[in-house]
Amino acid sequence: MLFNSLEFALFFPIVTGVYYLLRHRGQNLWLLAASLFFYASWDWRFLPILATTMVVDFYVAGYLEKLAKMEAPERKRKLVLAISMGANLAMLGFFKYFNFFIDSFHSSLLALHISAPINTLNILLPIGISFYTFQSMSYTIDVYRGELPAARHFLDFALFVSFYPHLVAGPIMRAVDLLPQILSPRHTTRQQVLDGIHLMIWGLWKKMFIADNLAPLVNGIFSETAPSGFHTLMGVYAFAFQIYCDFSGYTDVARGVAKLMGFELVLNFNLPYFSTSPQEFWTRWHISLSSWLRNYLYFPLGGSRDGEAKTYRNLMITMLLGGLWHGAAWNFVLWGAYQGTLLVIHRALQPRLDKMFDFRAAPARAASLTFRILVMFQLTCFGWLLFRASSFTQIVTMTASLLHPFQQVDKDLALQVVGYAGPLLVIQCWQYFSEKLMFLANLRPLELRIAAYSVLMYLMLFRAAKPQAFIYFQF
Amino acid sequence: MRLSSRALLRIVTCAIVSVLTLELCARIDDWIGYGAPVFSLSYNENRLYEYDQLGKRSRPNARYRKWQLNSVGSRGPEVIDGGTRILCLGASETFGLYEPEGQEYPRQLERELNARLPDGHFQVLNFALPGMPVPVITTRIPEIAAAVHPRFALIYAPVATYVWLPDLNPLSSAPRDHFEWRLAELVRNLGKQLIPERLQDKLRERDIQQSLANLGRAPFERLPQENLDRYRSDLEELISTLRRYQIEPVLVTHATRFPPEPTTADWPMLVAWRRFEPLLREEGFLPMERSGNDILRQLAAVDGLFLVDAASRMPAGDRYFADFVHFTAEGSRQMANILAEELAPHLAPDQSN
Repeated sequence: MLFNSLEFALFFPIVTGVYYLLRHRGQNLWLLAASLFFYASWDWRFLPILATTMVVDFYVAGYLEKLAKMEAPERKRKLVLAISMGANLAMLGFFKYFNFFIDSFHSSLLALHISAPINTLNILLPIGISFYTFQSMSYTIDVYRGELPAARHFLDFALFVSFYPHLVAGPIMRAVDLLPQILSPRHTTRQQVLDGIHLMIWGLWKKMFIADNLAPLVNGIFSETAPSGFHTLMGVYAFAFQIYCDFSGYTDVARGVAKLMGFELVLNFNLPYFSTSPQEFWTRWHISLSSWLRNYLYFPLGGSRDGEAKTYRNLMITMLLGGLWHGAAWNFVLWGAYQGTLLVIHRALQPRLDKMFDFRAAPARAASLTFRILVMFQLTCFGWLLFRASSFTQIVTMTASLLHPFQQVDKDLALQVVGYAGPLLVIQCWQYFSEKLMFLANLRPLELRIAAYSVLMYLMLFRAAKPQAFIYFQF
Repeated sequence: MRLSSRALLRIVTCAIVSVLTLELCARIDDWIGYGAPVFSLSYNENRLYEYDQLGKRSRPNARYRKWQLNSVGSRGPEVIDGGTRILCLGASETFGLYEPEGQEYPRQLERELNARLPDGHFQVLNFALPGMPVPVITTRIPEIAAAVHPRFALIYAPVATYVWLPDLNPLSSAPRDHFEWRLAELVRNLGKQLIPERLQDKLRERDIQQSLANLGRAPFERLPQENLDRYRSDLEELISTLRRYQIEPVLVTHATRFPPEPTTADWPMLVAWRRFEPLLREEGFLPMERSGNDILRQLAAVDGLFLVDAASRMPAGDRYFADFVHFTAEGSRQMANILAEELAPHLAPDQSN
């Protein structure tokens, strides 16, 4: 059930309408039932896998808390935590990475001229498994660290894991942020209703008008055997906006739906293409994942505490695993390695870069800011080439095409990319300089805001392309 | 919860602002896409027509959405000097509704003929108009002949326009222009995409019943013989007019999306067709088509006319037909191929002239 489907257009008002009629416990039960129905609408066979995650982490976290109260030895607590981590990662590994590793192992053997009859399995990838597994793991780790009391009721915890707005594509909520909202009664404020409606319209517009219209254009270019340099450039730019609008559009709708029921989900995207450095990019792009990786991987590895060399190592490990989180394919690993390398280089050069771009005069500061944003955008786009490519050969061919002078400029193609991405960029410039992400929601008078929403509605209802599945569902 | 009159006024104002903004967006969208005037009362297919005492005809250089007429009023590029000109006469199937620009069958036929007979320099001129009945086509032949001097005329005339004979009478003046919401058509189209097929069928059936009530007549099981006779006599008149202007008529039988033995799966499409001709019951459409095509075959045999039996050669199904009779781009390609294959040997000697 996609957010941009007729089914969801029926599901959402029914669920929200009944939700408003119920009291707190009833609301939680109703939401849990709705969330499980929502998840089962993709494929009911996914439900036992989700349920296993819920059961394992609920009982392990409860036991961890009990052990902490009994002042059990740290070793024993670590062992219990390891059981939970092992179970979660084993499920994720089996459903998502089993065939990838088997394939890679087989290819390595063949490269060594060893033939072995190894077969892959026909495994169904449960939608959103990477998202809810990370979320559930964060809960157990937080309970282990003593940052959060274990949930008393299984149904509350089950709702925390399965809460439908963010179940299949995030944002990945930490238990400390979401569980308290589930446990205490919620009152939807007027501002939440206004912001929720705004986020839903804004998110659907990005998804239906921009991402879905750019999708056929991107698919066309990435299926060319030898695209020209200009086509590659346009294809990569178009993909940059497609993936951003697709993913951030989804999370905007998720946050909007949650707000309408009185929940607050974390901000997941904060104008990422206005970043001036790789480090800043990761504080603006998929914020919930980068926070998760920082809290549960980078810091436990030592973070930046043990000298530069170890910091670089930790950055590379974090980004490599972050890349692999996105999918069972080597181009995601390569993308992670590229992002890690950018972070390492930036960290190494940061003192010099800070000095180089330290201007006093306002025009020079503005020019420097624009320059850094543009350079960072190009670096990000090259990363998207690695991310979107379907083979190493394609990466090489498309990269090589960018290095040659462009022979021909396809004006229609450029116009299409600008036509879809341009309006967003204009609005985002406004958001960036006014530092108001919700600027549309704050337009005055109300009639002007209604007119602005109507324009967005027009574009998404009457100028939308054929609906496409959200890209991040595959992760 | 009671709404104060002030709040109610605010809600109504917002609703009005929203509708007006959506309408303005639709108008700007039409202007960007098709150069349509933003502030005209209406924007519909009537922009393609003009009227005189003989009835409807195409308006030279008119444009409506993707449909663009040239300076002589035919759909397609300007007529160029020299070569062999072939007229395509008919209604919406020939004019082209669903195909992208340049993919309607007359344009594809022109490319096919020029590929098969490179020395022919064929120009296929699409003088069809949606809903154009045969008598109106006939009245326009003298001016078309004077303007473009064609050698051949392909007649692809649907018999379905003969279900309700008063439709054949030419309108001598344009329908009055009145305000139309551009948004309304967009909403209708969106509805068609979103509303389940079954519900759409029910709505169509309701429309049919409403139309019948308005006409105040009982529907026919079969097209009356009187109507078929009128079809025959109108075609004879058209043929003789063409001959009078030294234009050789070529008859083309009328194809539909339906297989020779329709199944229950074809029923909704028959209902959709009947919505345009409510007086004839669904069961009567295919026999009507067979009768119409028999008339064409008989006329060809009696008058020694060249006939292309497209009805028996066009494959059925939605790959070729976007609805009951209108072609998809693939259907138009198929139709053009059939016509070119049959016409090329017939036209070949003409190249020596």
